[in-house]
Amino acid sequence: MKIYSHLIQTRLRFKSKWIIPFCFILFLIQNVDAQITETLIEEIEVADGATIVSNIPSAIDIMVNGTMKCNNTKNRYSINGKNNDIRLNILKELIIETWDKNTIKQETIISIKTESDDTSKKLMKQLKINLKNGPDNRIVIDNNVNISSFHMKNSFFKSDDCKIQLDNGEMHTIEYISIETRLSIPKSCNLAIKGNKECIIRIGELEGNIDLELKYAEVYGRSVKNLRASFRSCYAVHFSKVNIADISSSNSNMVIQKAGLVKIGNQPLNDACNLPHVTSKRSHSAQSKYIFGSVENLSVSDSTNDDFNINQVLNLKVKKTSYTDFKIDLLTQSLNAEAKSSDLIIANISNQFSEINIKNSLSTIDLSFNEDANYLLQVDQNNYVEGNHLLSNPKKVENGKNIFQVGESGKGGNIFLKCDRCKFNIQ
Amino acid sequence: MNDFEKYILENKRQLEPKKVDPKVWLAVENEILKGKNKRFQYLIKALILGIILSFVAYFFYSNIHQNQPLDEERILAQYDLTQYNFTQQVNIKKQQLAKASVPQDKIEDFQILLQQLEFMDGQFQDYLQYIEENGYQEFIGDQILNFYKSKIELLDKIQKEVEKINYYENLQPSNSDKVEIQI
Repeated sequence: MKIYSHLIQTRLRFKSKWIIPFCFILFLIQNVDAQITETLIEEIEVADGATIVSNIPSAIDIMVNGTMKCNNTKNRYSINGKNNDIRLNILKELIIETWDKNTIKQETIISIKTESDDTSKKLMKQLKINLKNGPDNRIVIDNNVNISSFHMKNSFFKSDDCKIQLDNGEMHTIEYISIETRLSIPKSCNLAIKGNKECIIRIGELEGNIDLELKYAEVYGRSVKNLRASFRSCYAVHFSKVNIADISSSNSNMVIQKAGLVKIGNQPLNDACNLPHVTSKRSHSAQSKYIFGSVENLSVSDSTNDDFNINQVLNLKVKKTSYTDFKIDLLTQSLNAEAKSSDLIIANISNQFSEINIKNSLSTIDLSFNEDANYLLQVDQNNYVEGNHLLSNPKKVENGKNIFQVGESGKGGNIFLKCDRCKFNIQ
Repeated sequence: MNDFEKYILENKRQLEPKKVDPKVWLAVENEILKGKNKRFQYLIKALILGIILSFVAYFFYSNIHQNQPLDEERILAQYDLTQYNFTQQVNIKKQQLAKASVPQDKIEDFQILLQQLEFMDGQFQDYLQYIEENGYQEFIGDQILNFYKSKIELLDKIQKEVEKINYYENLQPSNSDKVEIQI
């Protein structure tokens, strides 16, 4: 009896005195700390003219069976398990800095949490950046190091069972993983990025070529020598300067502040970027918005229902285009357009322009010249057009064309308009 | 000792209660236990039935949720995107265009715009699929807003082109029969 009462007293004393510290220790044991973080860095030297081929951070294969919640933000791609615990956390933003060195540097910050500190360390040792210069002078970059896929399973009776698979096929159980990658590449090299999941790509100044094939991406670039791109549903693509751009896109928005030669719709859209539900009459550029600052030569072909807003263009060439509208603040030299239902609004045409040839239908054409401009205007007489007073008094009619001389004869450029069912406003 | 006491003493054995046969006791105990067991069995049965019913209700509920099609209205309402009145705007514009017609010789050129509209509907299916697979995310909301802006612009464009074609058709009839654009 005495012993029993002593036991009760001990238990009571334990309860009152130790219960809180005991719970705290339990809490610590539960939560501290099988998570470790390491920064993996690899830097290799590359030859001149090397091409860097990169995937996007969100390209990791994800296989989930059970309850999954995503709590993603614009910059993060994360997968949460049953109790909303984050299991996979990837920085979607890929920053590619450029430098004068002839080396590529990949810097990947990885955090892993497993059942024990030891296991985390062992797994961390197996994660490696694998940069190799191939015989074709191409270096392939995997932003997710050698992790090929993330697997998560849970059920009504079972908590999250998460694994990562490495490139060598090994599976490792984890509780949490986060990946952040940053690249530094030589200014002179070429860069190719493909991806069809959401990501944000920021590229530094590059003297080489950039080849982009992206879906649902945002791209922010600075000065680029050559840009070849196929975009689908990329609502924000910005470049400050591009020497030569060859862009095909669908349902995307592009801004280029300064460009030398820009070709739009010159190449067929890559299949992944094409309109999936359109079986015929595929355009190389469709339903996109292009905003250009200053462009020397702009060539648009196979475009449908695009929208061009250009501050200044030297030469503009348009062919096989329908329902695509152009708004130009200043045209300096020439315009050759063969289009259908495409409005052309040019706020100012330089006195130095040499030629304007427009074949169009069902459209509005506004051409504004300076008051002292000289030009010879020829309008096809066979088509129905409406126009301002300038078109009501032709100087003469010759070979089915109404001919108008504005300013001094023999000076200035030539304009030829053949437009059926169009509205002209020439002033 | 009086007579009464004497009588008791002599007949003590007869007055003492007779020993009950253990079989009787066993039977009585069994009867009691049977009653208890029955109550216990009822409880177990009720519990099992409850669990089964809960499971059936859970699977039925989750199946209803899974089978319920994600549509534009539900997505917009669920994620607080109704403030922009996108579906109303789209519906009004579609209603306006439903009866629109253009000359038959223009319909072929016009198909490409209608196909782009189909593409946009397909694109929304991509978003729905993404939301079904990965859940709703903020950037998908941004994409949906962009999607609706593009779709409304496209419908405006179609409307403008229809008006343009018909404007010139009235001024210079082509003698081509008019057909509905069938949106």
